[in-house]
Amino acid sequence: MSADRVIECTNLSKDYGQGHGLFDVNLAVNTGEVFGLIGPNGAGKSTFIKLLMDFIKPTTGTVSIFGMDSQRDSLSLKTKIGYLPGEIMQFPGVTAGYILNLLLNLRGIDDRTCLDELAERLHLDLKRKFQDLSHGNKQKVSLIQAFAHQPELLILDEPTLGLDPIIQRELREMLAEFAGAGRTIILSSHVLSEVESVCSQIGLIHQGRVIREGSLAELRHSRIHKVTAIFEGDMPSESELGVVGVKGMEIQGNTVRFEVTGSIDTMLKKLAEYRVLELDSRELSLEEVFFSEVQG
Amino acid sequence: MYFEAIAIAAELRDYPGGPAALARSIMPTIEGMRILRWPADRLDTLGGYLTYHNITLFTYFLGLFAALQGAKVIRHLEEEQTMDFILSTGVSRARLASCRSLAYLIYQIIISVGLGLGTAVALAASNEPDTAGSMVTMLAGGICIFPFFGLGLLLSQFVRSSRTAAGVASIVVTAVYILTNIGDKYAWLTWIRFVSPFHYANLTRPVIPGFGANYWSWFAMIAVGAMMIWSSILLLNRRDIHSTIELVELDRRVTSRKVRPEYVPRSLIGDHLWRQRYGVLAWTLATAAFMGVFVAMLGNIVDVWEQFDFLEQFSAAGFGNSPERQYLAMVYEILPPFIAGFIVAQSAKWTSDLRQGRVQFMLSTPMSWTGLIVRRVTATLIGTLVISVGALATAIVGTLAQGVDPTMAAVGRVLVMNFAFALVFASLCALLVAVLHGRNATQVLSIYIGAAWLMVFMAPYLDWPSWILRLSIFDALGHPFIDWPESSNVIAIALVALAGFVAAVRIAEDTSKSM
Repeated sequence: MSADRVIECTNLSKDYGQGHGLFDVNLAVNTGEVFGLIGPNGAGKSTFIKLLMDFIKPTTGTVSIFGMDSQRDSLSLKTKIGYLPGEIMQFPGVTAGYILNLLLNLRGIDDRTCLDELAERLHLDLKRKFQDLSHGNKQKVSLIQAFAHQPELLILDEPTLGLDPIIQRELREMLAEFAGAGRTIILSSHVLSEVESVCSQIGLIHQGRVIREGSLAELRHSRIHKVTAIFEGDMPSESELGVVGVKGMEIQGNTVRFEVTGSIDTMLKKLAEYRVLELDSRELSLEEVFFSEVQG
Repeated sequence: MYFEAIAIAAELRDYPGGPAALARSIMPTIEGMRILRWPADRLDTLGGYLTYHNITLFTYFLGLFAALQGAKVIRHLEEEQTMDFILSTGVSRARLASCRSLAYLIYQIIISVGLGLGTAVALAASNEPDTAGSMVTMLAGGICIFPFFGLGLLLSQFVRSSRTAAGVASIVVTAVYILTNIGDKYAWLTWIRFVSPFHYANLTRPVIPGFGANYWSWFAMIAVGAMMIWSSILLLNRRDIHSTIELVELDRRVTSRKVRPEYVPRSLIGDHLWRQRYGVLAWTLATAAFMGVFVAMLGNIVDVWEQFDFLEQFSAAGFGNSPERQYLAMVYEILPPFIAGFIVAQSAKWTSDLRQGRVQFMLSTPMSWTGLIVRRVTATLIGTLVISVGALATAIVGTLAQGVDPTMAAVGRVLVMNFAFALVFASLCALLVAVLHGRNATQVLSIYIGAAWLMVFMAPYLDWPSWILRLSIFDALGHPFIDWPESSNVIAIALVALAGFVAAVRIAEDTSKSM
């Protein structure tokens, strides 16, 4: 295992039957990386995170975190991990401060400096009853408890759930500072723009399998280009462009839109045989990569 | 009631001097127990005795159930966050409250019919069939306590938690019940009959020879219940969802007064106990009050133990002990069901910890699932110890007040064996919660506790084989006020506690920590 490897999953599966679960995940996250898991609802993101946390047992495969076994060394690992669940918990009858202080007490941490700083930074009133807090403020409590013991690894399931744009931006800064200090983050999200702006590495999960993995640049390495060309006079036919790797061709008047996978050199040479008035070509956004992969 | 009806019918038939002599002989005891049940009429008849002994209590429990349902019927929807969804569909608050109340009334009538059928079967089995009388008597019980449902609903408009509303409503129902029972003994209490639904329910007792039904009281109580529901709906329409009626104008000024630093426990055991301090206190007070009432009746009641042979079989101590020891043994055996109830309530909290995401948070700290279960069981045992000590202290004081030796060694045995009982039952609860992963664990445990407790009383009386008793956790306790249980029972308790705990941990370790 590489010296700077933080998480390493080998043939990791959790089979819930009837095709539900997570299957054959081989994935590695290195120190200082911010790894984003994206995928549609029910894809297996939370299952993956719960496997990392040893909340559920894998059907097959292993997870190694900081070189330790996620099941055998679960307790030692939890001193190094800050975790945010994907669901908002309920904690009736007590204040936000009670919950956060209790969790720090359970970790044997007496210093409250970090807790107070985080509460101030995220504008959370610790004296308010947890049950009276809004959805977003409850999420702040969950976030603060994940950061408060200054872990080495953050595992966050949908961290921006319910947060307003100002706090979302604050959280992005907190994540950047955390990663900037050489620590590691793994997060899942539906908000692709957030993943795009925060994460250095991305894993795309669909139907329980990691179908793409790598940096955003690597995901784009397959060079899917979205091309719009406006012609004067004759236009190339779909079959002509098909042989040069063009997909999803749409024709509207003299405008043709399509996607090209791989090198665009052949396609450009083919277009050059016609009179092109305008040509616009750009790489796919993460959202477009996501839809392209998930919807085929 | 079925078995009791058969036993009472036999006593009425065989008692020297006949049923009237029996009724006269037990009257002093019944007077001494006024606080528990009233009125007692025609105790020389089976219908009269069962009405006094069972139906009156059924009505009380129906009243309690009605008040709890009323407290939950709207407030619980808010707590479960489903109220918003329902109201967003265009259903009005008034319609929601009235439909749910009507549904409850139908539910209550069905329960009453069931209880009426049970009464009819019990009477028929004793060769004194009265199906119509049984049905009408129990229907009166079900319908006349309808105002208690309205009371629960009304109270829930003023507090934010259904549990608080249910707690206050239960206290009111119990107070009304007790005051109704003793109302005619004190001039200053005569007013209670005009406001007590129990009094109106008691006006219909056709199962007692010579008594009839008062349908006007049914009508009146339905009308009172409806008015209380209507008032609740008015308040519900005025208040904010997830909030309460503001009785006083809130001080909305922002002040800079110092807030007292909040106490936060340093351990999970401390957290469990601290957050449940009022619950433990309520259980302690309830158990102590219950035992206190029974101990207070000691002087009045011992006479009857010598007069009814079959009571010796129902009494825990059995033959060969003085009536006082028998009675005190029975009183001390009230404690385990309360402890079991407390532990079942704890298991419900364990389930909600899992369902509401708290388990995930606890386990995200360096705490194992085994550690979590150990801490839960320890906190539960401390809670049961508090309840036991409070109840036993009350019983000791009550016994001393009547000039009877409380026999401290016997009380010590009771304390030790109840702790052992709590240990084994908590382990079984942990196991069941782990096996069922929260689903229906509380219901299964409640049914088991009810069946196991009844089994101890029924098996000797009905000559059931002894192995059946082995299935009851209460039987293993023996009668600690009289003597230590057999060593085989102690070993069984220890083994079941250990096996239950180990199995609970193993199963829990291998199952999901989130729902």
